[in-house]
Amino acid sequence: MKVTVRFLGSLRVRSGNSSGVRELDLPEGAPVASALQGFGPDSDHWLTLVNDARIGRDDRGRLPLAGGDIVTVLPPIRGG
Amino acid sequence: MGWQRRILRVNLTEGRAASEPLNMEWAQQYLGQRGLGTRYFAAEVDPRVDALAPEMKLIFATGPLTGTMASTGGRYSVITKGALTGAIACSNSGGKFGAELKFAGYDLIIIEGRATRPVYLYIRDDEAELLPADALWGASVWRTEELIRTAHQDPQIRVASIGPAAEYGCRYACVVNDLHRAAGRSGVGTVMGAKQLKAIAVRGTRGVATHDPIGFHTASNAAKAELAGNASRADLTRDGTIATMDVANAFGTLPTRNNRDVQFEGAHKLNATAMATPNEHGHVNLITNGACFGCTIACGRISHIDPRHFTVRDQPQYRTASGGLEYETAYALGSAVGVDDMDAATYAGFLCNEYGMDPISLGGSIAAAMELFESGAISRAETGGLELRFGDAAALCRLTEMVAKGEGFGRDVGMGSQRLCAKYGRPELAMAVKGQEFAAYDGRSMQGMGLGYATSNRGACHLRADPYGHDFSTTEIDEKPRIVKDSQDDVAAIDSSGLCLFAFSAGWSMESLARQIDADCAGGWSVEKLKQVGERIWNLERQINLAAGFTRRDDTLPRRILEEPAPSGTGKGLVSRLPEMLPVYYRLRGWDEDGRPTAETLARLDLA
Repeated sequence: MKVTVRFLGSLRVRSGNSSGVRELDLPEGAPVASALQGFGPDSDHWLTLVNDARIGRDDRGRLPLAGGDIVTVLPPIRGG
Repeated sequence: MGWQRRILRVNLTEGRAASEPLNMEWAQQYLGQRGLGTRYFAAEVDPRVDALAPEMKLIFATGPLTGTMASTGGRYSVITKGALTGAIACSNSGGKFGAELKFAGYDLIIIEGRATRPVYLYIRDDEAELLPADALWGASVWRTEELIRTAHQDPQIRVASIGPAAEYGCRYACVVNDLHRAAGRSGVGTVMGAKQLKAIAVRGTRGVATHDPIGFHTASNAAKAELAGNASRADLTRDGTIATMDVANAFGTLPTRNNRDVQFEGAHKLNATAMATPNEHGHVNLITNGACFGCTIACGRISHIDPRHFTVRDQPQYRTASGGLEYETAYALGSAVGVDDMDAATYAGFLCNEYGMDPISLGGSIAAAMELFESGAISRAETGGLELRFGDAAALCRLTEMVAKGEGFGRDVGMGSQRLCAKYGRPELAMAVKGQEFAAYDGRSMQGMGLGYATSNRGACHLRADPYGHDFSTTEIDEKPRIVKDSQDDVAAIDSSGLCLFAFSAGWSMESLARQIDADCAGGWSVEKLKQVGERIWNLERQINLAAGFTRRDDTLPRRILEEPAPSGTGKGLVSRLPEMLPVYYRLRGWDEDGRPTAETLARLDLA
């Protein structure tokens, strides 16, 4: 299945391209965490949304993605 | 010793300045900067006195790490009663002014009284004198700095001054130093203007001694290494705080159009990528980054406006490099007013620096004015013919000019959103707490931030608590009162040290702070002691506000945040659960149900 991963803020560079977006081909029912693998050892600390719904850290290894889902990853921020 | 053990007391009414010893007992209890300045304020000022009265005092305070080799050790604060809020005000600035004041040999300057004519304070080490400023009155911040340096033939003088906005009484005027660093919030510049004190110019040639020089060398170098190896520090250096724009927007906590919305369709035109990418003419807004004194982060943005842009087409003086958009400025002069024009926001930001205005309160007040206009509460008759509609970049820039110069309707907007909305019969449209406008986060998707806004002693503020990590994890409220309370205490200690809060977003912890303070200052400074100092400061600020007339009813949020569900984002459908969190917060603080510190709490903190 195809899913889209959007890298926002300072994580944009982690996408490896100028658009900050990566299209992934994952096995059917792959968990949210699988979309983040390979983009950095600190991905566990990123804020993660699937189709604009927040996905808690504990749920990322459990909740399955569906084809067409948009995964958005955000760096932790503190003020600014 | 960290401290210079000396303060400068300046009486404007009598026209004299003299030094006196620093109260070292208070230094041990309140550390410096925010804490120590507030302690002097509490001892010397009746909180019921009007912020603009001659009896009000204005305190410039450095921390024990200001002017040392500690990374980010360039901070100072201005403590007084806020002209915008009527509450205790403590506004923090970077740049190089604070370190220079320390080099001149002073921990604090206490300004008293009111001058009969405009003056400026000139300090050169032990010499301090009040000089006529008639020729400077009316000059911009930028021009004032140039004139003072020229008058004294010394390009190394550091200047903190007010602009024309403070002179006419704009309620959110700030004190600007080093051209584009500011003690920005709560109207501390307005208080300075009421005293007819145009500027403080300082040149210092001394160093700062530390308690344990070798230990301090080790501690500060280790702390710098912590920053150097931290990914968030690298992000902050590369992108600046404006990188937060995408995050806040995606999350649904970017206040937009006076908080009617929480996501902005034009955010991608105001983000870090847009700032660093050539526009259709090949112009890039961002020139480089910049650092304050001793800082190894360098998050500041130095920008210039496309010379073809409507704002500068006939104003070449604004085509030069100057302080560019930070996240808060981009929100206030962007999404808050529905404007997605980066150059327009940059221009309005330049005017804030040049004329001395807080961009957060300016943007919040203009957003309120736009909603007043669109809802029919005001019309072109009140605005002097200006069509004030969300998204209109030209209206934003024109109204910013009017506020800066105190022209027509600009004076109404210069009162701040709370006074503005009350005047035109729609007080609920002011997105403010204790009279101070919201920062760039929404209290519905970020429940902890809402509690932080409501309980902040200086009015709504994003830098008085640190609920960020928990808020981005969950909207469940059980833990939020404790997180807000504990982080408020930590921040109060950090704000009293001379270091920058942003370093604590970039790798530092309270342990990093304790190691540096303990080597810098005598007295045995542990994390536990710093936390108690922070809690003491918070409660002292609370006591000042209570004495000034604030009550539990002021620990609240606008109706929009309490009753109108967030329209989108991760907090869609939520309102603030402040009524549930506030009693728990009071109990954790050791306050009674009316929000007053109990006798036991005051005794525990040596405040009885």
